[in-house]
Amino acid sequence: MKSIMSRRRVVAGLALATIVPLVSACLIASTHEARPSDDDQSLNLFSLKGISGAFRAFWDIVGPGGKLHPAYFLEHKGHLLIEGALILVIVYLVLQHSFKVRRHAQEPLTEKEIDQLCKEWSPEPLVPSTAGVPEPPEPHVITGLDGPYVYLKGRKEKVINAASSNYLNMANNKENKIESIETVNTYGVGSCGPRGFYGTIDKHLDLEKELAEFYGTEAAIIYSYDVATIASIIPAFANRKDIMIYDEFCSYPIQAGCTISRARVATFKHNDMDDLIRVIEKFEAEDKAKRKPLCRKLIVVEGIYANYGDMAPLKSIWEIKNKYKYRLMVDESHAFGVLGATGRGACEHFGLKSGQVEIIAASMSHAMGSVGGFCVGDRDIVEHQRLSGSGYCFSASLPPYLAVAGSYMLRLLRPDKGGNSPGKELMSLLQKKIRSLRDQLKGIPGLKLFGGAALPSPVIHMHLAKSSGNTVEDQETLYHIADHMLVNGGVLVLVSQYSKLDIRRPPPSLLIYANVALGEKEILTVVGALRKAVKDVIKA
Amino acid sequence: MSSGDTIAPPFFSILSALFILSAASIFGKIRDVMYFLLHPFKTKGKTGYAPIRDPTEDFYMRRMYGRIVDCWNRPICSAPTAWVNVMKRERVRDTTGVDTAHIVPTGGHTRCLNLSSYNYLGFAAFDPYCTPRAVAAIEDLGISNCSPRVHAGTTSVHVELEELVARFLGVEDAITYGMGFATNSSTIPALVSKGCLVISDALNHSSIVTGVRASGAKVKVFRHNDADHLEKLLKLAIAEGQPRSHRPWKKILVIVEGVYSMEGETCRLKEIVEVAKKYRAYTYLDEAHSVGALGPTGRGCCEHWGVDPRDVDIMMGTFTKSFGSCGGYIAGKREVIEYLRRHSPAHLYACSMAPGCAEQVISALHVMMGMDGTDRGKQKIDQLHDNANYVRSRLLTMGLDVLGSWDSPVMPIMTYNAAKMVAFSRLTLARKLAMVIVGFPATPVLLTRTRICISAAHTREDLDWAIEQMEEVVDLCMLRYRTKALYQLVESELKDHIKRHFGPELAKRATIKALAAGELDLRRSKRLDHQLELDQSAKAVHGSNGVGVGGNGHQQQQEQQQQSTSSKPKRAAANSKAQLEGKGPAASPRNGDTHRKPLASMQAHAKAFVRPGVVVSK
Repeated sequence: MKSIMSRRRVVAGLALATIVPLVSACLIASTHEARPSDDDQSLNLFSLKGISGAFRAFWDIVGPGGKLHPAYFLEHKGHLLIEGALILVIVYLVLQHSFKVRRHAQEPLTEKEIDQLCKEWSPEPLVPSTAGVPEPPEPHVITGLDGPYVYLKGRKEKVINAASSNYLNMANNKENKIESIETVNTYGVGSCGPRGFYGTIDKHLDLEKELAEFYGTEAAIIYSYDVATIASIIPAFANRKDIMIYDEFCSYPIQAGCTISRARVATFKHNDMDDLIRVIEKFEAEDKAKRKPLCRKLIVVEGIYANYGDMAPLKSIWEIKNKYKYRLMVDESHAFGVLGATGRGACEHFGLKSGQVEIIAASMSHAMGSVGGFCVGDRDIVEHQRLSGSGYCFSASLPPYLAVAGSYMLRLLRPDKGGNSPGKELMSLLQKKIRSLRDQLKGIPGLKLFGGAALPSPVIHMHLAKSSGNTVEDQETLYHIADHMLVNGGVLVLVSQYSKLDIRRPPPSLLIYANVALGEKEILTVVGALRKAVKDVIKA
Repeated sequence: MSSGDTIAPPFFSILSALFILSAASIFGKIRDVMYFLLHPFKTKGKTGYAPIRDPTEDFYMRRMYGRIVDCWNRPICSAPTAWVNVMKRERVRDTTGVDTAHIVPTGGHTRCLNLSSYNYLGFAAFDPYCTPRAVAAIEDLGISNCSPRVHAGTTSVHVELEELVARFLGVEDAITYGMGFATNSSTIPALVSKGCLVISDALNHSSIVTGVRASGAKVKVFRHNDADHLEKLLKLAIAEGQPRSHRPWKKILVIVEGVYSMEGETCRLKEIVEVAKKYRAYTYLDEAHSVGALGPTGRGCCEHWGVDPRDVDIMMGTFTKSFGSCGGYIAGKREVIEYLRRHSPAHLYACSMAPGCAEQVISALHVMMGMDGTDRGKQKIDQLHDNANYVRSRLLTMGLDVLGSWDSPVMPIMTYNAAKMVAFSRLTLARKLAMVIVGFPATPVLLTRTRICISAAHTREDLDWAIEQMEEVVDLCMLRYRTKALYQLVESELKDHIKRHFGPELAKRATIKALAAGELDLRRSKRLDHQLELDQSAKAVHGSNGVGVGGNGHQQQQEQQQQSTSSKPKRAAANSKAQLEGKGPAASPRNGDTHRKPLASMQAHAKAFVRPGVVVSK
């Protein structure tokens, strides 16, 4: 539109600049009567005489002394005309200043071209084709429970379940079930609303209070799903200006939380404190150079890494974070109810007191035997999440019976005056099982136990000792081992699977969860089945 | 055109609202200054650490939100059904003087009418069919699986649930998750990534925004419910390609919601799907509030508008609302679901849905599909629509500015002024009504509102009582704005709605006033239509030509087949019982509802039963 306008202006200017002087010249000439000449001659331009006559007549006007001779013309107000023309040219040039030659590509597309482009566009399919990609095995369908055993669809005999992170067997606890069922009968199943809009049920408040008491913090907040917990907490505490540093072995929810927060994100090498310091100092130098104002800085680690089963050296991380004034967030999902004298997790295990770690978050779906997640900390930290944690504000709250199940577990863990509790016994029993399992799994040829036998972690990852170098192939081998264990040994274990969204997918591993319900006999069966399966599969 | 476009706060409301806001902020500032003068050397938080909240947010939280904190997060101590026990609370004086937002329960509770829970079909409380089955699932399969779906988290109820959801929605396959929010926030990143474009409705839910953010795809926002604007954006996006590089987009995903939770409006699905199909963009329909609540059999937005569910690429929904449980689903083509089973983070890493919750959804679906052997599901949906339309018309005739579509159980009442909104919330609670208010930042500053959610569990007496209570509060708060344009728009929408669902005859005399006064009883009129159809079908069977209203012979035959299927003795008995109680028959086909065709199996079944000369029983 703009280019058309300027082009019009240019044409008009040019026309003015040429026509105006010509017309005025003619007018001036006509005011001064031409000298009378021979009419017949002037008309006849075909004869030589006629032409010369015309030329003479012309010269009479234009030549020296003529009315249109430049000198005469200029003296008799003709200069005004020339000056006017010059002004017009100047005006034209000034106008021309706004006119730029536009490249053709930047001209807007016509309707027709747009339609053509729309017709030509061929989108990718909604999901990539799965043809050719080896299919992961169908998950086994559980149809019933019996202590450490489960019944699977299509199998008559029960099998040992070493695939659930139900560490303290809370999900199948009889008393716990009775309490949950009572809650369902009075409160129904769902809460039918977000926490803000009449979705807060007294059971939620009870659980939050008990969690805060248990951890000795000012407040606690519960979320209704485990993957949404950390993925909501991190964005609540960071935006573009802030800094997030996390361990490269951290699981997907932490990665997703950092992506959503859009903060300045960096990872450090797994459990490498020197690398952590290097990353921190890099940020410090950058901020100092650019004179950036103080921003929120957060280090995120997991108490027990879900994807590897080892622990973060929290004591040294805590010292570093204190030195550089970072806040520390620990994901205690697998450590809560497993580590520490009273079951508070890895922080307690490393001797950190409540309040020393700013944000502690954990899933309720492991040792707690429920569903959901929680976060404990100062009132500032917790209350901030109540308005800024998107998974808290915008999602329906936890079904009340699942909150009751959480409260039950906390009640078991609560120490009496002597410092003992039923939960403590359970935890020491679990530790015994972990030690026994890890000890026996260590020596299996063909597989490598990650983290070693001494680790008090119930998440046991077994990698292939000799990797073929191809992830898919390794995974296939492990699937065969797991299958063999199920079919011949009656043991349900699983092979880790990772989404393509996971930034750094760990190597495939056989995943075994220790569980307090597993007796010595079952542990022997698990190890025996694995030994036999590895022998058969890797040889074959 | 949506009702959101026609609302404009009156000039005086704008003035008063801005006055209130600035007064609140000025007083807040004064209090901050006073606090500083009284405690000059006190610093908040640890030194050397940046504050958790940024200063403006912190100010808003302490000095403005702190004053009205009692209007939200009200705890209840009963099931969230038609009546709830709202716990009494008291503000606790914060000794530091900084915080005003501390409020704690004091024990004791008030029984209030629940106009706020998303309990659309009334499955939230104890249900004679659902609850025992959920309890049995907890007994058999434990409280939780403590394991993701791909590991040991798949139980028989999960498999059954996914099959049932797919069947209910009429699509190939479905996958379920333990939380509705996570369903969106983890599925969208699995579907789109960098180089893809998401075109999202302006009023989409936070979970969708989170999901898109996590995906890394580019986002464009189209005007709420405006298919023309969507088309314009799509055209331009395809023609221009990606910003700067101008490469063509890998794929374009259009995300809309079935019922918008803060507007109560149903999505104009038909137009949007048409546009998306024309430009080969994929559609993602979030049915969090519409599944179970919209459509004659509760199958959601697709059924409401007569759109084939297979035309929508991704159907998402939650079990939190209508089904009284928790969790969400994604349904669609088998290959899409298979892909999500491999790559969706919530499927791979999150603990699976608790078996009790899954069983609750299964049983709720059984009820809705009539698989429990009763027509309770149909009754619930009819009751919900009837309640919703009744309350909506009553509120509109009261002169309130009510947004939303007919049949939608969500209805926001505009207050336009934060102070009025808060006063409304407190006054209604004092009159034993539990209602939700929504203000900044969830809505624009001047478009504050209170929201009613209707349930099938409400009786007509409950609702009449609630409206009576509200009438007083509305006068006290001066909420009768009587925006004419809005009223006219809603009335034309009513005519349109009735035309689509009950036929043009009834639409002619459909006005909001008539609906509110009970002259236009949609249930009763349904019953009349039902009678008429019965007479006609009887005549058709006898060989005489169909006389009077009604469509062609083929349509009549279909109707007659529908009749015969619903004429099982049990159903008939239930109907007559309902009639005795003064309620209309629960199951009656709607006239002129062309998109509801009986299933093939039903047709075959019907053919076997309908013989010439047999008058279909009433």
